Amino acid sequence: MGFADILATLCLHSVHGVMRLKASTTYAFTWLCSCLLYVVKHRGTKIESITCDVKTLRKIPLHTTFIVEEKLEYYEDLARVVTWIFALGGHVVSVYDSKGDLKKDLVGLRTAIVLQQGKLFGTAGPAVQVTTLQDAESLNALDKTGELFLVLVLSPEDGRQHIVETAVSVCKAVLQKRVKIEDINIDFIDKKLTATLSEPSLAIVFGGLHSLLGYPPWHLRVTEIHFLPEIRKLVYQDLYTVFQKYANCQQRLGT
Amino acid sequence: MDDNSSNWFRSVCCRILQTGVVPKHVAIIMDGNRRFAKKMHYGKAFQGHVLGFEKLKETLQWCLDLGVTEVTVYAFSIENFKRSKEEVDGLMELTKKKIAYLLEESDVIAKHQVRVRALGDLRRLPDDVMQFIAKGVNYTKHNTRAYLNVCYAYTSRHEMTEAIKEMAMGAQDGLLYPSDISEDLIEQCLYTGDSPPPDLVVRTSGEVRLSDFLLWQSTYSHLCFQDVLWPEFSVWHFFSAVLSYQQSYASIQQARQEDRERRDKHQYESDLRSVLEQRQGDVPDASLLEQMVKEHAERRRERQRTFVERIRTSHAQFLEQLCPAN
Repeated sequence: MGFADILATLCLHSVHGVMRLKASTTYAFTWLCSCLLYVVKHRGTKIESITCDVKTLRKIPLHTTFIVEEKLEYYEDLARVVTWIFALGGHVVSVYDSKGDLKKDLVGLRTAIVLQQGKLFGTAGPAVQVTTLQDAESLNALDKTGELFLVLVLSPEDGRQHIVETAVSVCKAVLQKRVKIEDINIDFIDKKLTATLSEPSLAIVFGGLHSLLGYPPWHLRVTEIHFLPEIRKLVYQDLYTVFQKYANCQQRLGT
Repeated sequence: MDDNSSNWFRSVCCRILQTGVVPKHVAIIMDGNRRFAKKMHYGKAFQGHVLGFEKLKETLQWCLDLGVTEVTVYAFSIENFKRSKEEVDGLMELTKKKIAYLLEESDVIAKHQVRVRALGDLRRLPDDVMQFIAKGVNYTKHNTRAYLNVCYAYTSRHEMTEAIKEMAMGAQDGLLYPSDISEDLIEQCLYTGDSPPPDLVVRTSGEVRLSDFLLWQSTYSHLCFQDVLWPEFSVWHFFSAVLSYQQSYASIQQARQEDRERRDKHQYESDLRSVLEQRQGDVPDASLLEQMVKEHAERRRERQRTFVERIRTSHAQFLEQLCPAN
């Protein structure tokens, strides 16, 4: 390695260092502002102030999805963010855990959510069901009445592998002459893939990594994608800012 | 800073970036042409598209100078057919002009031996545009040093649906078993079947969605949404995107590795299931079973290779027959 290469490498490492420092400083500044707002307005802990925030939003995503890369040892932080989403008017939250561990303890997650709801809503919190895609079909009827709030826990098995399983079932159906080749179009595939998981309007990727980490690709066609710090560092103001951006976005859908 | 100093400084920055990881495949959603034309008070929004094409040429040069060997761009979505007839016709005429330029004058394409590929449902296009595209693609098909994939009349959902349809036809024709279908096979059946997944996806104009672009392929890419209109995209925006890619490279590589292990595990379990189904419950000893699974996997790979070859040959023949005799 020549002197020029060494100098260039040092320059690059310095630039990366400055970028990381800038990100940390920005985060610290944002956190400080949120703390000040918390002191002034008790944001995130009072349902009344969240209800006021809802009135400022032109539109609210019915289905918000979280893409989580960090290993969640305690569910309190995730449960708090889910509860904020429900308080802001969301109805479905899907949590894509890129490690696949969350599916092993749905009961624990539900307990944490109910606890957070109790703190925010008091005793009148909405009924919440925490489930996986495989068990969600039986809940669809309940979901349509609007009385049930749904938390769907996803893992990499629900990503591209789900499309593979759909392709296999379509091929078998063609071989058994239950389906014709000319019947296979986007709507046909869409009905199969969105039977239990609807398209999220908003995706929030937590943890600083700007990647979808294997999230079900079919469902992110026109989803607004935002990036936030790790869930354990999240404050209410971060989430409300994302909801404001979502409310103000315009989708031209190709036109 | 005058042009020479600017070029020198850019070269130095490029050299510095090259000491880190350089993305091999960059995908770009070139958004913001019409808003730029409105911002600059041009009479017609179409002028934005003309400038957008010039920006594409520049960006391709920056990518090649840095060492990026594959660039995929979202030029025209199936959804864009909903735009006014005037705009759609104008875009088709611009496409023909630019392909003619490509064939006659482009030094970037010739110097870097760039192979141009068109990805999308080309049959939706007018015949004359299809012929121009086919000429451009065939003209560069022997280049192998770098690739420019232009997504035209494209949406990702359409691409995935066509792949599933192809596999269903393959099964019907006896080329494939349903159990042969896997993530790897679907990837090879997509329009980008010859390409590695994009390392970096950039979208300009401040919008933060993928808009039906490379949804399957970009699931482990580094996403970079930049608040600049496409015609204003500068080399510094490009370098900034590459810097942010370098910062997340290690974590994304680890996630990709875990995904690869999961896929291999699925594939092995699928092959094992197929062998056991064929044996109808008669389970041989472990070493014989292992041997049978290996042989099954080899036969599966052979079927998949033949099937994928059929798709690629059919696509190449479609483009060749579109080219006029001269």
